[in-house]
Amino acid sequence: MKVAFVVQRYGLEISGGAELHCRWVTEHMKKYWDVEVLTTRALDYISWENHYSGSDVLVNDIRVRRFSVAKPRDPERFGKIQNFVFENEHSEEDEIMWLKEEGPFSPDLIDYIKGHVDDYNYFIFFSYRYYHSYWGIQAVPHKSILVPTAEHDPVVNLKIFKELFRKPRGIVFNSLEEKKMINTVSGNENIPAEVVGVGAEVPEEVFSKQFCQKYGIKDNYVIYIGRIDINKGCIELFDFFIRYKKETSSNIQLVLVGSTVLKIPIHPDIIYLGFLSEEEKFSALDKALLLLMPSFYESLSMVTNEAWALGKPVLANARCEVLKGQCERSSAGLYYKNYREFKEALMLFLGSSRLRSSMGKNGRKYFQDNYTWGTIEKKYLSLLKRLEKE
Amino acid sequence: MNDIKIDYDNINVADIMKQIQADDVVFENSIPEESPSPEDNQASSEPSLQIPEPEYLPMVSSKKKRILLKLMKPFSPLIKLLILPVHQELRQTVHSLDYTNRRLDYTNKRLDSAVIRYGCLDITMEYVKLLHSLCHNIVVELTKLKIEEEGMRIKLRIIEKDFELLSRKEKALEKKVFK
Repeated sequence: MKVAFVVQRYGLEISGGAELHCRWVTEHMKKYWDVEVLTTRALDYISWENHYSGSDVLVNDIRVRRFSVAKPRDPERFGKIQNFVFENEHSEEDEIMWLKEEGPFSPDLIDYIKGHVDDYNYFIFFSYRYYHSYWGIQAVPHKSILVPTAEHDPVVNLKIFKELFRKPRGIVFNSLEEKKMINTVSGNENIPAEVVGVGAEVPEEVFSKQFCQKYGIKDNYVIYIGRIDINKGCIELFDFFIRYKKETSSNIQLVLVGSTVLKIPIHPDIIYLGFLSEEEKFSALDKALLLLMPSFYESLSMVTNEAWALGKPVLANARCEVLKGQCERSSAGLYYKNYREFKEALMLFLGSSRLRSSMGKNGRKYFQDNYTWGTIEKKYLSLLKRLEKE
Repeated sequence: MNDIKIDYDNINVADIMKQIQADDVVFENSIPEESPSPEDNQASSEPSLQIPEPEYLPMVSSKKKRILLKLMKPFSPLIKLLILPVHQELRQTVHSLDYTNRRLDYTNKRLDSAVIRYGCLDITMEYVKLLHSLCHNIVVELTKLKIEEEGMRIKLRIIEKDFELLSRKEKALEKKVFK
């Protein structure tokens, strides 16, 4: 069976998000199918400028066909159209224009899909909100599988996507909450679907002691891993943490890992480590008391799964339905929607090692049951088998 | 924090969260009883807001205004400016703004005293305060603009009339000269 994975960007340099999700799935499904990746030459997700030179290359032994982006994104123009579409009454044409401006505008990629429909059994599209998925699915609806990676943001309510969600042969959701949201928006319950998500590979050995020595960190800390950004709820997290420190006599520290687009407050107990290697990231996570996940919008949090894989409990933002749902289903995390709840939940965690270890155990079990690569692979195979039967 | 009951062998997150949220409610409800400060007593017994509402003078209805304007048409625009009750609208606006300002000061004072008393400030309260100020500023700016617009309209009418007068004068002079 020949399967093409279609995604907006693809490369070893791209970490996090739907792109990494796609790369991991592609690399794992390689052993079952003849896989190829169809993508653009972009690296930067803001401008979509053509970056990669080769149009037909091998990445970790997977054939990647890259197509040029015909027009990079003009952020100012895109911003104006986006504001208009989100804040005013508008037509479907306006939404199509918004989609084109959002990019990555690569008509060559769509032409290739149209011209090679018979060469592939299925096309698996990642990220519903971009140009490649919308026009790609229109070109091959009968052979397309969509992995929406949708978050609860205004984009999901656009009219064009309501139709799009009804078009593919199958859908792979990241979580039950995402499925519920898309079903509500589009009424596409009749389309074969599977809640799959993405697996995580946890190193067998972590060197947490060496990590703490290297960075001079005490072992009494909570951790946030991810992009440090306003959209990820980091400003609220800083505010809550500083208030927590003021109001309690706790000696807890907050360790931040990841690239930042924010000014991090200067506080003796907020330690910013920047971007770390995978090995160091897991070492940092392993020594932490718990993971803080303040994001408002997530279709699935990979780092939350990784924390559970290591047996660490999670304190998440309750305003993100997916995180809240996962905490409840796994019994491995608490959540907060205001400072008072944040404080109570954090106090509860820090005051009870028994709670941390019980929730950690639950998290590990939840991860083993749902997010090991074996389980993920089985779910993809079973969906395609179902489609074949139909 | 009340004792939260947890069954460690069979953890129920929703149940723990319910207990935490219930604690929240208990905390919120218990605040006024904890430390009733003099300010608090004053707040509870005070006859709420004692700011006199601005007196609204009877306005000239737009119909009457139109008739007045029609009657005054032959007269000079300067008389129009003097007679028209523009100042009344202005006075009323100033009154209403003053009233809003005093209300805002009063609300802010109460909010601040609450913050001092409880030693903590919920971020939503900060937002409400900011939004309140923002709304107030918008109202002030819009009112100023409206007044300015009205003034400009009147000035424009005067200039138009002057212009007409000058044109008539010009024509009359031309006739005299060419005769």
